[in-house]
Amino acid sequence: MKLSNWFPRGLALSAAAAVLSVSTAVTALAEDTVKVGVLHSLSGTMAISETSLRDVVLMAVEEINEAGGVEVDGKNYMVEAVVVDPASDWPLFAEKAKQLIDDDVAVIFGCWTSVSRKSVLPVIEEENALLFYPVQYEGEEQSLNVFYTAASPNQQLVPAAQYAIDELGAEKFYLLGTDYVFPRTANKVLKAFLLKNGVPEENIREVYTPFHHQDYQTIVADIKQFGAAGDAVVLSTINGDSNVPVYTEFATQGLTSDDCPIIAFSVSEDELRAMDTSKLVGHLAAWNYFMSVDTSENEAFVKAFQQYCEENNLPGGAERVTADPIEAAYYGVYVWKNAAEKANSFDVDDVREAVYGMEFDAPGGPKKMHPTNQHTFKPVYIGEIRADGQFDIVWESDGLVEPDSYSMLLWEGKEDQIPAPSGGGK
Amino acid sequence: MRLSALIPRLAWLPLVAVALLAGLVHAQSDEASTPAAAPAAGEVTDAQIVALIPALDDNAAGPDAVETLASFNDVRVLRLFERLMANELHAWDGRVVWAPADAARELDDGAEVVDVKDPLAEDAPFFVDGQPAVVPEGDLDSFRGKRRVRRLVQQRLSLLGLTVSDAEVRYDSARDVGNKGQAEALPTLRDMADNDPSARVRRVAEESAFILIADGAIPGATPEQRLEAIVGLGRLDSVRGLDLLQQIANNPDESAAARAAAKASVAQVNNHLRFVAMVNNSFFGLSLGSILVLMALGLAITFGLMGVINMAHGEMLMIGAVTTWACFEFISPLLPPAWFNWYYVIAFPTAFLVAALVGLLTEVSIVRFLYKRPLDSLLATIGVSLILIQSVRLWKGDNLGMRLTWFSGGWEIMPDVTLAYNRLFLIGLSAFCVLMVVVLFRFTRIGLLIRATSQNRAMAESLGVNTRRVDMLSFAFGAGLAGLAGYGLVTLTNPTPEMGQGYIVKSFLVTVVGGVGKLIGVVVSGLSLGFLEKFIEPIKIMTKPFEVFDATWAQVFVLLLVIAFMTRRPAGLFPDKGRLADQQTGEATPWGAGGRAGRWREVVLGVVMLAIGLVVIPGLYAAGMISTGDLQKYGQWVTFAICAIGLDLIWGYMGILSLCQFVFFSIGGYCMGLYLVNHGPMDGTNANIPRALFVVMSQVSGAEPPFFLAWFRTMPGAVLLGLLIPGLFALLIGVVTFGSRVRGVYFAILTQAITVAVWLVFQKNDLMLGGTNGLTNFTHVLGFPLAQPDDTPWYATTRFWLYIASVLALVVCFTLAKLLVHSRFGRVMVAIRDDETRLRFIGYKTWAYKAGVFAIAGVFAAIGGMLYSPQKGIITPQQLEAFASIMVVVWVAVGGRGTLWGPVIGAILVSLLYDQMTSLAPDYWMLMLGGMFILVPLFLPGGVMSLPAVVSGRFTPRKAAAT
Repeated sequence: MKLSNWFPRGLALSAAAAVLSVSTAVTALAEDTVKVGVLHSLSGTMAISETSLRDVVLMAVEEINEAGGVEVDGKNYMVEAVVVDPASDWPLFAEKAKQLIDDDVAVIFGCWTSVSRKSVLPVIEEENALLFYPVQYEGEEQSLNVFYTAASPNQQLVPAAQYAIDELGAEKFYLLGTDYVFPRTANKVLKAFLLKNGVPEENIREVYTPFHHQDYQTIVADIKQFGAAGDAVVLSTINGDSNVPVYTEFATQGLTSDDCPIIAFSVSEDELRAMDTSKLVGHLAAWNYFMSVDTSENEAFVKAFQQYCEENNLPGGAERVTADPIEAAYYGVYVWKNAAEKANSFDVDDVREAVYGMEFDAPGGPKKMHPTNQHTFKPVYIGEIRADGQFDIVWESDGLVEPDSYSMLLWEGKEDQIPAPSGGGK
Repeated sequence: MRLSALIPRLAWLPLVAVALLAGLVHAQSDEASTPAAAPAAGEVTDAQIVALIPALDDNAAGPDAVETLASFNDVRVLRLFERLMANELHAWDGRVVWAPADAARELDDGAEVVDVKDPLAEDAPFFVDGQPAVVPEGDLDSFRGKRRVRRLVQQRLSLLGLTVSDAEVRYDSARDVGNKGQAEALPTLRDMADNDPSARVRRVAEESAFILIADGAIPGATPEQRLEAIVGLGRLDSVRGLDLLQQIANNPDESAAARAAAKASVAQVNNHLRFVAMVNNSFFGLSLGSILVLMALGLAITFGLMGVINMAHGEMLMIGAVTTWACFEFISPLLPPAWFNWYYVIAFPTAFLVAALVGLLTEVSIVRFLYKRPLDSLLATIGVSLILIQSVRLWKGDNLGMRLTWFSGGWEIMPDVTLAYNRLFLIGLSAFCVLMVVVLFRFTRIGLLIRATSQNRAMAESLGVNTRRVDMLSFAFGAGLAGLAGYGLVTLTNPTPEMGQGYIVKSFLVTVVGGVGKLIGVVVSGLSLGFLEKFIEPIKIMTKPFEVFDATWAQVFVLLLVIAFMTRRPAGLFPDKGRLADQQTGEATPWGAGGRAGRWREVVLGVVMLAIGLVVIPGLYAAGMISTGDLQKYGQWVTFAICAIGLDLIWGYMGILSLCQFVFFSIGGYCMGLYLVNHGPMDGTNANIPRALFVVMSQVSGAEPPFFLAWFRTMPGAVLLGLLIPGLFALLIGVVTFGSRVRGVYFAILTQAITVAVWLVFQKNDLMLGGTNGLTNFTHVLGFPLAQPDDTPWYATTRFWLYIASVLALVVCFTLAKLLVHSRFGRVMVAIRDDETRLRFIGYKTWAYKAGVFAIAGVFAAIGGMLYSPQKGIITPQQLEAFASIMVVVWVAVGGRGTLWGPVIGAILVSLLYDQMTSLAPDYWMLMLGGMFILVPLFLPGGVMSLPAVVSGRFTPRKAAAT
């Protein structure tokens, strides 16, 4: 009978939906392990950046386990990382976060783009879960369910603009960005800062391109004209795969870092890995960590990461580099571990309290979590790109810089209107 | 200025430099007139110089130290400056030493050490306690000096560079002294302006001299001299002087004469700039256009001539790029260092051959079974592309860096116009590929056979042409051409596994605009699109209420022009009567709904699905076995199913392939999103803006809420608009396109152009729609909270009712669709699919039917979208990307088109697999999903719905409608 031939199969396929999901929901926690979620894109457009963060988080987990795990309540818990692939699909981030929470992870390490974080936010706030977010971003957010381990705008943008004025002697500013929220907000902050410092409006030009834009001929010709008198600087928030065409076009139209330096906010060692750096020498980037930070802790960290990549046969192997988001993702795991041990609990509310004000040693030097605003006290560095894809640190802040969750440049005079933190305990 | 250009010349420095330094720093002193008479050098000791070095790293003491050092007139200082600017000085143990870039060597025990050198000597070791110092590499810190001090050093070097033998260095130096206002350079500049052997240098020296005078940097300059300089800057078309001229023209303190002259000069320079812009835009357009041609050429063969909807074309291009990278990675280290670029020569045939081989394998193993079913080739080639992407990623990751120095720089054909070498190369490569294709097709036997096969396969076969071989070779050749495009593109960007995704949409657009099947069409359309985009990009189209001016808008306008053009010329620039010209995009369904057994199946299927949707899943949820999160997920998949039913109506039943179905879904989602963010102002803050919008919009688009927000304040208003906007938009598209008889693949690609245009617009962050972050932070629906405590009983959760609403909406839409296809109207739909021309001759207004059903499909999608956003919690422009709409086609194709059940099952099945496999097999899910997309069309030609027929061996696909 034809009917019976296929009928059960059809049923099985449809029922698979229920069965598969149910099975994940009822998985019991083993006695002595604690699960953590890793929510970074391993495919799609963001894989190029986020895969490294997955790698370094797994390395931190391995280190912690080798050192005896996380000690809570007198017991040593081994950390079990649950890796999922949100596939650079923003809505899928929310679903995966939910799935991880249903899977009883104690904390999630993840996200890169702002939109992926915004997508996860409602889920983790509703479930009172915890996310460590390791990438510099536009600020204007403060969720009690997120710890932002990378820079807020005042820890990256403002020092760089100051540097451009003081040290590069720049008088004209070309704000070039990919059209999404970070560059839009970043440029708003930068513009406010520049205007406040007496730069006339006509000396600031703001230009955006869509994601994955490849053809920068017109824009670079414009920059060339804009900076013909040799007093211009480009402040670049160009993201991801558009960076190669920008720098290539710069070089082919004969602009050098002496004619018109680019200070980039989204180009780190990991991006330089894929570029021909001989064209980039002398251009700058502002970050809170560089692989070239000269401390023995950092040397050990770099070595450990390269060894980890080699042993696990990851692309790049021993040639892999570290970068600001990689460091921020790495110490995020330790901040969580230390907080759990300090709180003697994996409960999100307890861990959150323990994170506030925590001081810790990161590979790039000692840092501190803010006592209230979820962000991190960090040093600021400005580095010049070298031919070997590393940065020469040419400026560093005087100690740690306090993070703003909402940029004071945008909220001046409206401080009382700053929104209260969102999320938090039930 | 290019320091690297100065460094190799250190060799001649001992002879000439003393004279230069002395001559320039103290231009007036006569004792420095010959190198022999440089007695000052002997008076300065090394120690004196060394003592001043640390000050270079000090903003306060630095400027004086540079001044003092320069006043020594000593070649040792010159070396020091050169090495400082080349970043070759290093701090070590409180000393400053010189370590050239490649100075490190490896000891036997593997340690890296550097034989450091004296920073002042021409080439001598650095002695410590009488021994040449050898320093572990890690102990050296770079010593660069403060940036401000470096600028002063640079200025000294610029002065020096004015008189060296290398014209390039003279050019840069002359430009820099003018830019930096170094008045002391004026006499030299004047001399250069008259006597320099190079015309370029003469011009730049004169320009710099004028800038110095006009800027008032020269204390003794008379008003006449200034006036002459101002006029001169105009005469020289000086772009560098433009800012200065404008300042003078607008400065009320300047004399009337100066202002008038400046104004005239500004006009002159602006004139020049307009001309430069014309030349530049033409070149940029030519270069972008040639890239488009290069990209699309391979597709013009696999798709244009052979009729395969080759979604893996982008990946063939990626394979070419990655092969080039592999040549760099593996071949370049074997070459002598000075020859490392030559891997690029080897990569040329390699990229072609590897891509051709991948194409050949694809053809032999997959595509050849699908020639009669081009739509199934779409699904299968998406599978191929997923597998290729993930295979490359698993092999070498996403980060494939490479180096090629051949094409850096450019050819300056006139002041301010430089033709970049890499662009010239790409234009050449593109021309070469076109030529290759022309020669092959026009003048070779195989070309003749390919053309013959594509024009009339049956006739060619009966004349003894081995069409199998012809197919294999053509497909491989098309893939190889794509590989060459990838090979060329690495001069602009880096290869990544995902790169092909960025080219596929444009490649199809170029091919279709040109006229499918016509190679000349590809060339003309590619070049036209390139020119259009580059000429539109610099134009400010409007500034209020938001700015319409930049690269994004340029692309939007090009797409709109393309859409408008295609409604005028529905078969492209060069209409063709080849294989694809009249082909409909929907063949007869292999597994129809007719027959008694079919009806029984439907009843059983319906009962089972209803039971699962309305009894089993709610039951499991009530029993606590399904979490709210999972329920929400199922609810979303149900909304996808609604959207897919809409596509099945137009595609499965009417044979019209639409690649913009998810656009209507997303617009519906946005409409509901605008209602969902409308939940009252935020406490204590700007009273105009709801909290949710505040989060995504406040800092980005100003504090004012968008004017249209009020329209979405109530649920009925939002629902009404959510149905009307997408519905009318779809109707408009339908009337315009079907009214002008756009058909087949032309329609498919036109709808894809619409998708991309809408996506680009929604992405704009100044449009008050939340930009790339989309709309989020929804908390209430109709006053019911979305987030509820865990102990809420199952029947009281808002999300449960959203799920139920979705299932009910699916039931309603399904029933409506069923009634529609079984009505008389439905018969007309199927008749349109099977033979539209005949129907039109009978007297039916087929375009009206098509537009009507297209609008109904759009409304279905919008219903799905409106139920989707509250369950998902966010709606972003990503749902508007071209790939999202292609996924709807995939759902329908996997499930089985023309069955109504197929899209429901396909949407849910594919979503389920995607959801589960991205968690269970994060590194391999693309391989599995890709494999499924290949296997379904190969073994289940009617989708999952044909499973029973295939299993029972009764499956006989009906002959394709028109081949």
